[in-house]
Amino acid sequence: MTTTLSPPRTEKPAPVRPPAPLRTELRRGLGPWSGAAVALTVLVTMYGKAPEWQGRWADVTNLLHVSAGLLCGPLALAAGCWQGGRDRRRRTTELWESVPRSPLRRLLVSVAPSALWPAAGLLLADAVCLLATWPYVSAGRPFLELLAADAVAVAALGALGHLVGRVVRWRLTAPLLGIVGYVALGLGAYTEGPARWLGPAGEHQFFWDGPVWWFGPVSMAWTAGLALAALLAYGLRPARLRVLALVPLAVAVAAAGLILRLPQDEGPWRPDPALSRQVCDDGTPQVCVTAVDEGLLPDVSAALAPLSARLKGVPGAPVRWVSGPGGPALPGDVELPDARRDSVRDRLARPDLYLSSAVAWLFSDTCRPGDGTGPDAERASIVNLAVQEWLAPTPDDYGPDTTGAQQYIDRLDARSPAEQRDYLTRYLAANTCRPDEVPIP
Amino acid sequence: MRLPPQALYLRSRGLPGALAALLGMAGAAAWAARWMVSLPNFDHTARLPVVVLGPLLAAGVIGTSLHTPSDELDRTAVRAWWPRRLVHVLVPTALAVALLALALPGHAEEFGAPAAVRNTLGLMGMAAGAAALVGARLSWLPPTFYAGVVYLAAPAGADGGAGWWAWVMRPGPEGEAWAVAAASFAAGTTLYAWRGARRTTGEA
Repeated sequence: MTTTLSPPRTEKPAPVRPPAPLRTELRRGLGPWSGAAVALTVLVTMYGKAPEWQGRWADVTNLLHVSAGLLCGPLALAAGCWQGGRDRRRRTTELWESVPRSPLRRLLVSVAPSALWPAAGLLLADAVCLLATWPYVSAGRPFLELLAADAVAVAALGALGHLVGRVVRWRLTAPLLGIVGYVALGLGAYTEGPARWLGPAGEHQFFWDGPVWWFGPVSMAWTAGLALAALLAYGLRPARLRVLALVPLAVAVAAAGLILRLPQDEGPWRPDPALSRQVCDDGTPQVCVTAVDEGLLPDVSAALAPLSARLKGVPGAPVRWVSGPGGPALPGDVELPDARRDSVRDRLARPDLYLSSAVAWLFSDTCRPGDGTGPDAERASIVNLAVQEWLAPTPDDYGPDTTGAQQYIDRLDARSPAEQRDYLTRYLAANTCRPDEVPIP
Repeated sequence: MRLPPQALYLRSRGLPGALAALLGMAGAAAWAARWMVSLPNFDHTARLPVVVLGPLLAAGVIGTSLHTPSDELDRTAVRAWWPRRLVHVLVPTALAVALLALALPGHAEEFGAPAAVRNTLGLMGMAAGAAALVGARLSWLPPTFYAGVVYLAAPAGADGGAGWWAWVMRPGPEGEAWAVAAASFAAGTTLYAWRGARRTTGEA
């Protein structure tokens, strides 16, 4: 009896797919570190300035934009440049030439960590800062399209740095490119004229404006077009295909043309009436803030309450306290100091300080040169100080020394409420630029 | 013609190029400082970028010159290496300090020669330490990263211990900033002289 010997059937081992080259490139080398460095840079910078931006979308977007352009841009350039010189340092350039993949494909795979990691780090930091701002804002929206444009710009700078690192073989290229990039981006941010809106660090600090809708996408087309044109011009082979690089270049030039046609000073920013709308309380005098600061209104009203109580019904006293871009519009309006500047996370940090600066603004007559002189000048300035001090005592750790004015403050305190009102009426009617007009308590 | 061994050493580290880069850096710093002060609405305090970026570039130049292409061969030498390493850090640093001090005349109490000298020493210490820890060719990265972070994060005043952690941004005659910079220089130089640049493969 014969048995047929058949080979034992074994399961064919599942083919182990090697990890895709793109994944390996993204996970190894300087890429993740550069992403972490970018995120850390932005977060440390923003953390140190938290009271300045945690409260208005315009503030947080603007500061993120500046730190992306000024800090992450040069960092992406330098890191990309270092990554670009890797194959030369490893002496694997010729080995890569033997790989059955097109040069452009190899280029795009090796550029990916230089471009994507810094952009990812920036987006992470953006998300953290936006989430930290969210609970404290009152109106408006975050300018997400501008933040996306920043991420694209940082990625484009990383890709350009990578190309420079491939082409230039000098060990100082990377640090020098970073520093030159810093200087160039900084200068671009400070130049006047429409060219500053081409740079990724053009600053705009005005809380009641919004960008025109197309500015974000067009900025992206400008930076991404430049980087893509450079990549295609370097990586496309045979050489006749390099003409294709003109397509993204044309897109970039068209986008730059649109940006350069923006108005000279305000660029893409347009006033947004929904943000500068006045929101008022129902006290006397009325306290009004703009919609972006609506959350601060209760605090501002409370801070001004002692002053309002003294000024209520006095002829010549303010009818409305207003703040915002329009300034005092109606007769009887008096401008308030910017409450957001003195606030931390939607609360007034120092109500006493805010009150005393509001009083200082109330009595700040604009004098001409030659005013405020004469025999009574010194006494008048002490009386001015005394009235301000009586209405809103300056905190102990702040402001001028008030010991000289104490006698007038005591005299004001000693009077009856009717006499105090009478004195305030006379004081408000006087021109404090003329020392002889200032009444003595 | 037989070159003396010192000349061979200088050439193997690319020091002639590094010295040329230092001279170029000092010239650029002097020009930039004069130009920034001459701008309308700016006074001598506008030299802060030069006081930070000039020393940063000098530290990058000297730090990358610490790279040796024949590290393993060097380590077989019978002579002790630490005096050479020490001289290699100290002499170019002294040159950079002198050049930057000349490039920023006047206003020593703000951002003049003392601040530039302090920053050169402190950032150079960082670069030398980085050469020992991450390799000489990437030694510019930690000081660049540090200066980049501190540049925008530093407060205007010295509150919150800024004299300690933001020492590159402080005016010249501040004790805390000098202490940190001097400590950084001493530690970085010692570490490099003791260990040498980290041996790296193609990656770094």
